[in-house]
Amino acid sequence: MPVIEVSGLHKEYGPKVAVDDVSFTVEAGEIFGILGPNGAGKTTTVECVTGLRKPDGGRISVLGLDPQRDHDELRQQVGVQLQDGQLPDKLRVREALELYASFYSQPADADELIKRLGLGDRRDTAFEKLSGGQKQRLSVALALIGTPKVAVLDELTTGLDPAARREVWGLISEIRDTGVTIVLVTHFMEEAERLCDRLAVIDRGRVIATDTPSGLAGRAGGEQYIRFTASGPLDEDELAALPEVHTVRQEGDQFALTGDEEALQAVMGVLIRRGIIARHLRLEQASLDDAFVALTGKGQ
Amino acid sequence: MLTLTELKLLWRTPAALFWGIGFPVVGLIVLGAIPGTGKPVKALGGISVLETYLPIIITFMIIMTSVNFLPSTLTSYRERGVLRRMFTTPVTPQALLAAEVAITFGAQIATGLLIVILAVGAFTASIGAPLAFIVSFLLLAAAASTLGLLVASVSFTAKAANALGAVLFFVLMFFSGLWLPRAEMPDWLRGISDATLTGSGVQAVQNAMAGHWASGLFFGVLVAWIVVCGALAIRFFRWE
Repeated sequence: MPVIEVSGLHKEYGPKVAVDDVSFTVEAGEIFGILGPNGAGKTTTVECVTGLRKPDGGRISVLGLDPQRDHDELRQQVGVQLQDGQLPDKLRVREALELYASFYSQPADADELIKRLGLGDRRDTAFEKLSGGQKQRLSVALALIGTPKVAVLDELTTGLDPAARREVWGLISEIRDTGVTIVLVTHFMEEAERLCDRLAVIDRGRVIATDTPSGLAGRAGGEQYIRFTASGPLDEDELAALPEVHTVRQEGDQFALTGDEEALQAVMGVLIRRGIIARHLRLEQASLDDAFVALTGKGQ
Repeated sequence: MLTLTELKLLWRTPAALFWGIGFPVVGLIVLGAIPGTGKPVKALGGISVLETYLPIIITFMIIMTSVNFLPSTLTSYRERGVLRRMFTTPVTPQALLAAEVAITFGAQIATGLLIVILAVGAFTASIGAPLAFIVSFLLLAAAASTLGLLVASVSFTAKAANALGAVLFFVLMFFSGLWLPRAEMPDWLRGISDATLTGSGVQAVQNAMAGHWASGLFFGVLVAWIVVCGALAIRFFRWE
């Protein structure tokens, strides 16, 4: 049974339609990504899922509960990390966790959580003195302090430097391994690609695709890009004649090809027969980026 | 737990402690230590300078904490998503609001008590009608806090709340008689002062010190401020 079921979600703010028609399901124990450009309706969608906003239409079920009707019960079982949710400047890490622990009926051990999130040496540091990465880790800790079954994390790594981002990513994988189902809202391709088991791409208030990251990438045409420098004379036409190869471009001894998934194999066959070595060989897959641009018609 | 945590945070805000609690107490000590402030003065309606200024010092403390610090804290919590985050937990942000108001009230009562003990014990002030004094004090504090909540409701940012709070502070303190004691105000000015929460608050506290209940009019003004500000604050309040 899915942990979260959303069907036909619709939400307007005055004349502006924030979410037009969104449906998806999230299975137990997975990291489900909600990906989309800024202003696509991602945050509004999770705000409705977590009961912060009342939808204008559609049906939402989280752990079999209705976010509006079963508000109180849902709060106990769903941890939420909101975009831009801060804490009072002078509040210390440990105090924040102990305070939030006091809100829940079955809180996690604050000390253990602090250690697990690598904040052990920041226990008595005030919120204002934490680095961006530490603030985000504390934020994740607050979402987990109530031992939730589902954690909703919105724009977790926006504004973090690459090292801090990687640190938080590692953390999310670990949390999933403890059995928590995670909904991750992001507009970062790389983040979605690395973390998510499945994702829904939202654009202009609608789900335009739901698939695994590699499945989505595959929709961009499944093309591979191959580039190499030939060690000896090689005929462009011989490569172009291969059924697996779609296009070939030659500049001196440099070759750039596109082809299907078996193109590399076929090209290497030719090179081996000719006794030619491919130097500086590079192989690129169509990425989630390409898929995203293809699906939404916009670049990031 | 929430109240305790917020209390700790207050303790770590030296500006709030100094202006809200330290400054009024020090002000009283300085005033009381000046020779002659305990003697009755005819121009002040036969009471001493100390007794004239005691209600004003109390009002200063109450306005500072209720109209300046309270809305500043609440709007910054709203602005920074502290309330929004609380919405996602089993505790409602109303609990945070209640904790803030409770702390403000508690600090006012504690400081008020300290000021009264000092004024009566160390100096020459006397409180003739303690019950009337307590009722006046609490009504004044409640009126100021509802005004503070209204400021928090209509201010979109903490900056706006601070600016509005500062303007209100000077206006309210003027009508309380900080610069020109109410007894020395011309009639028309005192009439305006009577309608403000600080003017009637000071009058009610003053009369209680003199040993009698103030006219019901002054209590009516305070209650009216509570009702009107309370209703408007609820009407305009925003969580985010």
